[in-house]
Amino acid sequence: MVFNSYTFIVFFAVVLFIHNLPFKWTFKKVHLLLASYLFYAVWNPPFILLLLFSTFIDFYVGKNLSTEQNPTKRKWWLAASLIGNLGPLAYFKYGEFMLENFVSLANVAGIDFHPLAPDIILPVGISFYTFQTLSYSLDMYNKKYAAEKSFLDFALFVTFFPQLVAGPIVRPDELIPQFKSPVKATWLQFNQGMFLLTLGLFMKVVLADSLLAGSADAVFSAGKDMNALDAWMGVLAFSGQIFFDFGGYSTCAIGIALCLGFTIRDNFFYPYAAIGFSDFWRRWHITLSTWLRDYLYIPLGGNRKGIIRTYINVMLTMLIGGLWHGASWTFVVWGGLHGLYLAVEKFIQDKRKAHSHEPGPHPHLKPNFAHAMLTFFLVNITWVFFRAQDFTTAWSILKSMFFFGNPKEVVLNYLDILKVTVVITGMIIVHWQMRHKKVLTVAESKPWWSVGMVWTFLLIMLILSQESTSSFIYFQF
Amino acid sequence: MHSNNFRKAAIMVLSLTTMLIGGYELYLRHLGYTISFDDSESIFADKKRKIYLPKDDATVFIGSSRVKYDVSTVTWRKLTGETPIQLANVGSSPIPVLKALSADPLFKGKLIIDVAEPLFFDLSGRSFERPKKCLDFSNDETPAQRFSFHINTLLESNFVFLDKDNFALSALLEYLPIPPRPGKMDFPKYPTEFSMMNFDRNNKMTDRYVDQDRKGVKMMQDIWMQLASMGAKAPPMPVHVIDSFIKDVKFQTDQIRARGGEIVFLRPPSSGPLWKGEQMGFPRDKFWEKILTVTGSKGMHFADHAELSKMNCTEFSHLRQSDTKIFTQKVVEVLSKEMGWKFKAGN
Repeated sequence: MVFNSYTFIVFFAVVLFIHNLPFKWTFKKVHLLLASYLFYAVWNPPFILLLLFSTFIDFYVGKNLSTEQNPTKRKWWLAASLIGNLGPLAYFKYGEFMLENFVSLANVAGIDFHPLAPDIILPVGISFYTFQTLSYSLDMYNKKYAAEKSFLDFALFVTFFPQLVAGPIVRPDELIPQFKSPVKATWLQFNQGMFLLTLGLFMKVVLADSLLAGSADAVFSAGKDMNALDAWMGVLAFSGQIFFDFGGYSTCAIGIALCLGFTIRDNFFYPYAAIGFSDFWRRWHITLSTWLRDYLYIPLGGNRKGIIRTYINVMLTMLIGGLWHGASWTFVVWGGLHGLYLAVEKFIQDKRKAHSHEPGPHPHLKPNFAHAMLTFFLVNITWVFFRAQDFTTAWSILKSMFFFGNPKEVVLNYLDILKVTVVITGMIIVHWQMRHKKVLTVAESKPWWSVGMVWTFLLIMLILSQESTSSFIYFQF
Repeated sequence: MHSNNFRKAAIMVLSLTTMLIGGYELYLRHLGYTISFDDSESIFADKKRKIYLPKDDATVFIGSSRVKYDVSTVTWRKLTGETPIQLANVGSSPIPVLKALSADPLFKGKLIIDVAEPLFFDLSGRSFERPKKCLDFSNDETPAQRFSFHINTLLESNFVFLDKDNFALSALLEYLPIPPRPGKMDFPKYPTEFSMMNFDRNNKMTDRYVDQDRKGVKMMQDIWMQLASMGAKAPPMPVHVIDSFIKDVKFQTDQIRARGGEIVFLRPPSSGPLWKGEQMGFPRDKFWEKILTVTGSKGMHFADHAELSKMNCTEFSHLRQSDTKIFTQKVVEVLSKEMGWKFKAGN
């Protein structure tokens, strides 16, 4: 079920109604759990079994890890969780990719191997809930906190519908404690939640789908070299689309949870105002980047094993982060580029630190808009690989962006260019202005009627756009 | 902001939104616009689910906009007592849907295949895109999407402004006075009342459009002629390609017939220079007659019927509403009297 559908409106209204009835807290939690399963099942009912499997395995593993003292046995329990979680992910998400690459390698080696093409359906959100449940087993292994005793609370943590299929990837110690005592939204929380839900849907439906998706799709499916303006417009459109689509989903998820009385942490913080790439990853898909930091980069040694290992660890983390997004070498290159950017940035920072005798930040490194735009420019280069269906397309777009395309080949009309220009300019201004602020804090500081005016505008645009039921891009990841 | 202030803002949002959207709805109704459904993949899927109705209960139509406009589903229902299942798509070939029907062992009903030659014989793949998208959606539709469709239907049945092609934000932006970009071929936005659609997926041009919107009619004439001239510039189809294509069609129709299905090809009217161009580009003996001969099918060509050949398509390609009733009556009459089709209502 997608948030931008009539089905969800009805579903959410019913869930809200029941959640606010004077029932026992356990009953309300069972209701939320069943609602979450329903939320998932209306997409493809059999895949509920995968969710249940993931829930059972991590609950059971967590329980054993909390009591087991033998280090070898603890490792076996962790291995069971890793296989149980990453096994289905590998099969469903990477099965075809691995087979394709195996066939290519076999053919290169002169072996004539042509297996039947597998027909594997990717369960929605498998990467998200796999990482979420996996974090519990890993925390148990690291003895971060005590094992969860209530299966109901744990199952609700795994399946909580607002963030089940596309994050934010919530940690057990953030969400499970909220299930321990009765929660009901205050009027302020409810209204703020509805405001965030409207804002998130506006980002997804109006900005991503209605105003940007068409231009991005046209440019990336053109299949030919083109005018530099068109190539740039297509890439900028996609950079806006992916932010508004995924940022919109996260905003909706946070808003929906808030309407029920729960708090979920931010997943985006005006990423296109980032100054440098460490800053970018502190603002873009925050819950994934912190997950990768805590469960991959730091266990690999982080920056504790010398400068060379630090660079290798950064690159490995970003390559795996790229592959997490999709089973394609283009995603690996996307991750690799980000790894390279981070490495170069670290190299420059280390050099400058070594040469600077003044305490505090280097005077020439004072954050400014030009730095943010340079970061934005380089991020856009990476989006080419993220969006292109293959390297031929990516290369064609890149060539065209840097004036090596066909200047006579135009793909977009003036209206498309106008839409992309207005939305992307507006997006950059808002990101820069808001780079240290939170939307709800800003809303709270304004008079009620001005919040009302903005909120009305968002809602009317949402109704007028009449774009519904299209999936969020990150559902496929 | 105090809790009370956020509540005030929320009340303001509800009041203002209701007033503004309500005002927009009333304004559109005041301008004379009526309910029109979006030709979405969901409504296609809804109709496609009906193809399993018993043979004496329904007829399936596939093809392009011609059959979608020219066969009045209201008249059809009245005359035959059966359900018209409209699976045609504007600007599209019937072939993808024909293939899907022939590959479906459960489909054994009555089928009318619209032949608008430039689309029927378009092998470029462009005219396959829309039907393929609809078929893919139909196969993959989730229970949530189906439920959303029913709520959407309820809303679209009551609100004029819920018409994505004409009154959605993206459609409204197309009214901005922005010149065409040199080197980019774009068709202008179609006139609002050129394409209104009912819940049967039957399109119509309003009488107001046909009779009063001279500029809009001229625009559509120019678009059809531009498309026709683009087709005329393409190299002629080699005979062996045509033969191979029709052989494929025969395979599909044979499969349906083998299960007890009945098939008729239908050539709806076109007029003026468009009809002349179609005759030149697709000579009847090499295309229409060949389809019927090779597939062993019966066909109804508008030019074979005096009253139909006199009909004038104002914008060259589709019939006005009053003529669609006459055309539909004639189709039912020919099917029952000349082709032996049995209808529930006994025509």
